[in-house]
Amino acid sequence: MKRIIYSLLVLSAITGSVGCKKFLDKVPTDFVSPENYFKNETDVMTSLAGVYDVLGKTNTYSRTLIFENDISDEGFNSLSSTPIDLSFNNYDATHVGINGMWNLFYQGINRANMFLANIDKPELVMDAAKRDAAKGEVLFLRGYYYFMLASNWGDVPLRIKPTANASDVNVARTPVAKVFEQIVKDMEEAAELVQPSSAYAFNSRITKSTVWGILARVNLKWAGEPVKNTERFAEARKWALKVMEPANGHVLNPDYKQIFINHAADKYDPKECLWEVEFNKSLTGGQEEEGAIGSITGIPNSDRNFGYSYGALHVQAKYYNSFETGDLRRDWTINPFYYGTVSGVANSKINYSAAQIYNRCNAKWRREYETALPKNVNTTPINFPLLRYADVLLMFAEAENEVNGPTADAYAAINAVRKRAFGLTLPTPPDPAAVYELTAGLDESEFRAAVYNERSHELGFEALRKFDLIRWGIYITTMNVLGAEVNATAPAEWKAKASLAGVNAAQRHLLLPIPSAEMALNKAIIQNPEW
Amino acid sequence: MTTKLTLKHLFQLTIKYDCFMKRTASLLVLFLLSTQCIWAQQAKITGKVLGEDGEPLPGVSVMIKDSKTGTVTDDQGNYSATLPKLPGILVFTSAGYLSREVNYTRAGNFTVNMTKDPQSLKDVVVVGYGQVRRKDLTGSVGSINIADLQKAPVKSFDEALAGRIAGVQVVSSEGKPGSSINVVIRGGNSVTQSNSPLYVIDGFPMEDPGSDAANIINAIDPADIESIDVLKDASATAIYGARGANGVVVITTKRGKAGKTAISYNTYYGFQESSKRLDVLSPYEFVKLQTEINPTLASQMYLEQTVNGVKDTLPLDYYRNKTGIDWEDQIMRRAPMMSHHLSVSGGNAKTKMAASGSYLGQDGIVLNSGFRRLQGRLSIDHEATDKLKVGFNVSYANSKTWGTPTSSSGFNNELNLLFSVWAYRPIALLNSNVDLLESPNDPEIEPSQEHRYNPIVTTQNELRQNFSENLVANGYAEYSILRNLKFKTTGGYTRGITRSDVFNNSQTRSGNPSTNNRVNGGLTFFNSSSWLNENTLTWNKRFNAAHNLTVLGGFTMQGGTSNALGAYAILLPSEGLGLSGLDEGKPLSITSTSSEWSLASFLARANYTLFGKYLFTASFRSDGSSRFAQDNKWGYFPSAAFAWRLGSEKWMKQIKFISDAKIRASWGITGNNNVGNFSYFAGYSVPIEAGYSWGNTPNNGSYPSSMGNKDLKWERTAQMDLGLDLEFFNGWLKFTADVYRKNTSDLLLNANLPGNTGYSRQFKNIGKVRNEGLEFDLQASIVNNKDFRWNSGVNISFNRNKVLELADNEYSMLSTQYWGDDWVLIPGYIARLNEPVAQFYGHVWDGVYTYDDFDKIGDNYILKSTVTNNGQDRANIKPGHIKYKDLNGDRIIDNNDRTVIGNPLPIHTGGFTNNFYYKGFDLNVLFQWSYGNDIYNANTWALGTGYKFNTNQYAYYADRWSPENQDSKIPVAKGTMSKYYSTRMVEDGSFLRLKTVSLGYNFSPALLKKAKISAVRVYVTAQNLYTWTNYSGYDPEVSVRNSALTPGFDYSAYPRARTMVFGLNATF
Repeated sequence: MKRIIYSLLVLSAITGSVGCKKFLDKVPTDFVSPENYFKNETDVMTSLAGVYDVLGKTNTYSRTLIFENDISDEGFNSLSSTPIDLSFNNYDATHVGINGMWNLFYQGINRANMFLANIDKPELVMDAAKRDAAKGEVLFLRGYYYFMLASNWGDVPLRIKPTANASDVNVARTPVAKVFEQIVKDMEEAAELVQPSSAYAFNSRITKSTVWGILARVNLKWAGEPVKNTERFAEARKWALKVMEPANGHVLNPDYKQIFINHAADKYDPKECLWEVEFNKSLTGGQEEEGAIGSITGIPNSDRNFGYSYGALHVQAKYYNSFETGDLRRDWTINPFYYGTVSGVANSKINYSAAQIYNRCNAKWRREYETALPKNVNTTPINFPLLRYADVLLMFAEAENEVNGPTADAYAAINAVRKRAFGLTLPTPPDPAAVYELTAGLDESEFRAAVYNERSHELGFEALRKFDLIRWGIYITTMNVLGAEVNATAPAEWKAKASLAGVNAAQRHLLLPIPSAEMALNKAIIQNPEW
Repeated sequence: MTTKLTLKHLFQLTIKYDCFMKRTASLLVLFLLSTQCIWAQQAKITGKVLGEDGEPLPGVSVMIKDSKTGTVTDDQGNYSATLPKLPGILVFTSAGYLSREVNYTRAGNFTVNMTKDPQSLKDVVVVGYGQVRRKDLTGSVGSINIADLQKAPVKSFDEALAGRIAGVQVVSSEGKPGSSINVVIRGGNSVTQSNSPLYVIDGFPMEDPGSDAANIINAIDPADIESIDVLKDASATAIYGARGANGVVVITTKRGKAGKTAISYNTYYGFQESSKRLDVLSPYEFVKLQTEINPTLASQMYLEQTVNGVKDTLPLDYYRNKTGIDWEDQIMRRAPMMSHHLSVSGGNAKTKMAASGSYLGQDGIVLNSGFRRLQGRLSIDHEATDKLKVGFNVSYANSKTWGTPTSSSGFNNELNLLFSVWAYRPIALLNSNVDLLESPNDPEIEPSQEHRYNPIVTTQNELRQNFSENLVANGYAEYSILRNLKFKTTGGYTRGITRSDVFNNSQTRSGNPSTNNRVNGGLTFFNSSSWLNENTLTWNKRFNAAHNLTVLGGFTMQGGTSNALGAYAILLPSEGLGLSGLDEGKPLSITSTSSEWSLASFLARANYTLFGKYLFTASFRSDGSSRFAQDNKWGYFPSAAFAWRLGSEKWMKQIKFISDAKIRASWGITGNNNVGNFSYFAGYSVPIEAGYSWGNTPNNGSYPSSMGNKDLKWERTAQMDLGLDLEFFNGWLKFTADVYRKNTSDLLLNANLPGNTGYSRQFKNIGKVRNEGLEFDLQASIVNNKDFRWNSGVNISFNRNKVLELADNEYSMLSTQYWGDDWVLIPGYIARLNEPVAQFYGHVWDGVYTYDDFDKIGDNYILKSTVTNNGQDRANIKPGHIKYKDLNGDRIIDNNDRTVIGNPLPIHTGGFTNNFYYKGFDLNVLFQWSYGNDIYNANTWALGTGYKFNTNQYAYYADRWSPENQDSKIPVAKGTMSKYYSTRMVEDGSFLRLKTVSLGYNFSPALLKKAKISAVRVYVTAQNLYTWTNYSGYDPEVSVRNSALTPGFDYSAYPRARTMVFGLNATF
């Protein structure tokens, strides 16, 4: 007996000292470590999807960026029961949406940085062209996320390496012009690596056309408020022109409304739509893969089989009234009818009276055209356009005018867009005799004003209006004038909600506040002025 | 209230003491006189003293009554005394036993039986890897009076722990059967990690005993517990090293004893009910409020009717005498509770066994909730040879907890059950034929605005249940290698399986036909298992009478694995099949996780006693854990303690009224390894929500989910303790006091990271926290007569907690409580340097704006420019709106006007126990209190601001400010727009609770003997009988969504039941 015990003791002493090292080494059984990742194409493509993922979240293009953060002179939030929200220009740094956007863009950037730190590993086995394309897409997306940060917050912390450790938290803000340099550098490098638009039958992956078109947008912003580096207009013109090269095959869809019907019906038109955020059918109705386009916006309807919509984004009468007679975009962008029951037929279209303007909604994306079933209540598979060819044409017109004045080329670009707007590209135009061309002989500033209007009419509710007004330096005046006008003229039931964002708009609303959570945890950051 | 009681008690004791002194003095005189007398007739008395089980009792003091002469029993329990005269009385006393006086009328041999004193503190306490006589203890160890605890009708011991031991604070998060109970010993050390003590059950250290998979605490029937000892200071806990920092609760279950086989049966049956109702507005007040929130709509809905084509508007008074639905009455019920416990124990000198089985069933006081448990255990101890002892115990429990949580809905606080109950409309529309009680959803509320779902219907139809099975098996072998060298090896295995079921049929909020998911459900299996092997050598040597040395050395290994597997499906076509029809639905998600850990330790302890009065203890443990990276795996935890038994000093013996005294001092370091098993690793995850689609094809997406931290290491707590144990008048009064200081450094903090890092949280070691406090415990056997006995005990503890250092030299750290998406970024708590780790943080409520604050321009009231706003646009502020104090004087209320507005931590907590015995009756009364802590009553926000149309409010909201009620401080409807935590939500959470009252009657043994029954006790017990408090919510013992940073929060918490049971204990 004694012997057994002594041997046991000796044994345990040995296992204790020798075996302990092994005994105490447990490796994760539930996730992979970065060192073991990026070994093959699957790892790279999965990681790539993770970088894209940020685009389709509630606080990015699923909702906040297209709704609360894009409130301008086109529409207003009719849903909220309290007058405190980003959409009313009455918010502070604790706003959930603002914190959400900030965090998501930086998550995207960190994902991209991790990707870029690993993509050139020698042990990665992958087709070189695919690897280049993926690398280019990630470079572009990092640039795009910084572009969103710089547009909304101005100077922001710039990280182009993965976050090293838990103490690596205090990062000061980089001046916005420097951020733009990095964005353009990333995107120009990406343009060389990614596939041409013709490589895909869809438009949710980044192509050369996407990169060039967004480079035009970035340069226009750089040339406008707040940096006003007007030399960048030439760059914007250059990149827009690059997209317009006939070899790239981009043309306008002859039917304006079809663009948005396609979004709902899961069809792709890469000739018109260069880049979309893709939302897909998901069973959960959660916002993992579906978005809220057409359900938070859209025409109100409580029939889930037809297409449930809150219709929360109503239109301003000013916007409705600004369309020219014969412009077909008005009654697609803004619903002239509501759904009701007529002679026992549910979801019949009943026209609004001429006085009922504020009742109408952003109706570009309509759930009745969805084909993927079953339709969920709060979420939809409708895609959202991030870059359309019409936008490229208008960006070219704007940049050309700034660089060379209102040339024939500038006119041609804007008129191409207007031609479709008046239905003259349709097989049977409603009014073949309609005069669609922009008044000839405008001077530079008149032409500029025409482009401003055209952008609003063509690109209404496409998450560009507030961005445009700010870069043109006219956001506050436009909004204040609108607020006063609504207060003076709107029917009582709409007055309060429709006027708030306009009345409240002030200097500080040109930039969002640095989120409260970032302020509390990043010692090196300082808040935007007046916040 | 609470302090008064304590003082009163002390006062009584002082009176008692005075009486005693007088009595002693007179006895002394008597004694001096008596020695002068001549002894009349001497008589020699001999015999044996036996305990309850018939075993001889050595060391019993045998004194001749009213004299100083006496003897003690020998090793075989024999005594021999000479009475000076007959008849004469001998007094038998022994620690832990009721003292006995025996009257002798003749000389001879007499056997004396002694019974255990159920009220006395046990003589022996169980410490880590051994037992110590209480008088030899150098550390601070509290013992539960288990007989008292077992009188409380509770499913598990932790529910009855509060108020019983100084320094042990117990707060249950809410009243739901099976809800989590936070036991915190000597204040919380950790900031973001659990402060739960380590539970050592029959020698088996259990990490996270309340986990999903194996809630071992719920698996033990309180009736099976032999003892509970709480190790508080470092000298006692350091032997548990890396896991000892939060204190250790050592639980020993009952084992067999030699002697006659005893069969006992305990049962009780009773009812629980909610002891408090929170009234809501009457239909009249409800409609009145709606007309203030939205006059047009309210009038359309509640006041206008069309009779024969004529539109008619009713006056509000129409509702004066209408009665509405009392939703609270609908959801609450009187719920039965019952328990049966049968045990058998017995054995002979070589082999002892104990077996028990029990059933406990407890319905919750909220519909469709409850707990039930079946459990059994068996233990056998056997002496194989003179040198070898072996034994094992095995237990199995099967339990079920069910019911919809009332307070856990995070993203939208309106979905919490009790909020829905209070806020649901009491009446339907005018002339409506809608039956709100029966209708699953509210058809009269615009569905595009809001989905209102009937809380009663959903509660009745939702299935939320957890089935758990726990198996614990331990075995040991003890071998005496030499006379004073013992080797012990133990092995153990625990296994827990929990199946968690969720099913939402078409009558539930989340499964009704208007939802995306329709009928849905899922189940998840959580498995965990762990094993343990401990090997110790104990060497004990007495070197002549002066020196006694005990040395313990050991090596232990422990490891565990856990995993979870589950499936969830939606759009289930056949709801009648319940979860069996899961395969017919559309799969939604699969859960699959796994994890493992291991721990290896070396330990050593030496106890040295010099002259029986100087006691030294030193211990050392080193732990190696798989949870830390290579360089940080090992932690080293030393401790040292010294105790001086002053009572054994000669000079002390001269102080007559002090019968024993001891001072203690200890110091040591303990650790906390409470982090995830793989927290130090960086990781890439591929969760379902990270995917992205290209060309209508979904793709998996991955991202770096954790950046890892190779520097992660143990959290260290250094603790000092000074203690004093005093015993007066031969144990008539016992007093213990402790003062301690704990400094915790390298706090394991799941730190929030700024968004720019791309991560949200990461474990780091940062900061320092200090807890210091005082503990007092007083036990007295106030009256000790044959027919009437009265024992009393009071304990009180003061703990002060403060932050000494925070991350990255921060001065403060804000924390938020996630009780709704709109509150997730609004911090209501602050941790500041040199202040407690959690304090309420927000604005100071200053009543409401009155007419004086405005200029009247036309019909409009415009806030004067000299008056501070309330966070809202000045143009929107109207008379009756909420007002806050402008702390920085800028006339703008914003985040800069926040300050500390309350302290969720109590100044002192304690308990007061009394036991009365009169003939066959016994009465146990336990009071428990907490003083000086505040509560965030978030219900005030949701049910006292009139923030939303068609949403009912608490009854007191009828008294809100109005032009006719200008003295009110309660803001008007929609007058509290800014989401601020403020003093309006802070309430005093102090309370004194009459926690347990148990009245029993013990039938006389003579009567029972004929029926061959040893003992029968019948009783009636009430739990949570009455609570004195100013708190307006259901119960002041509340802390939903509890964490060290966010304690004392009440929102939609499950009320605490008042329980009344009738029971029977019988031993055969």
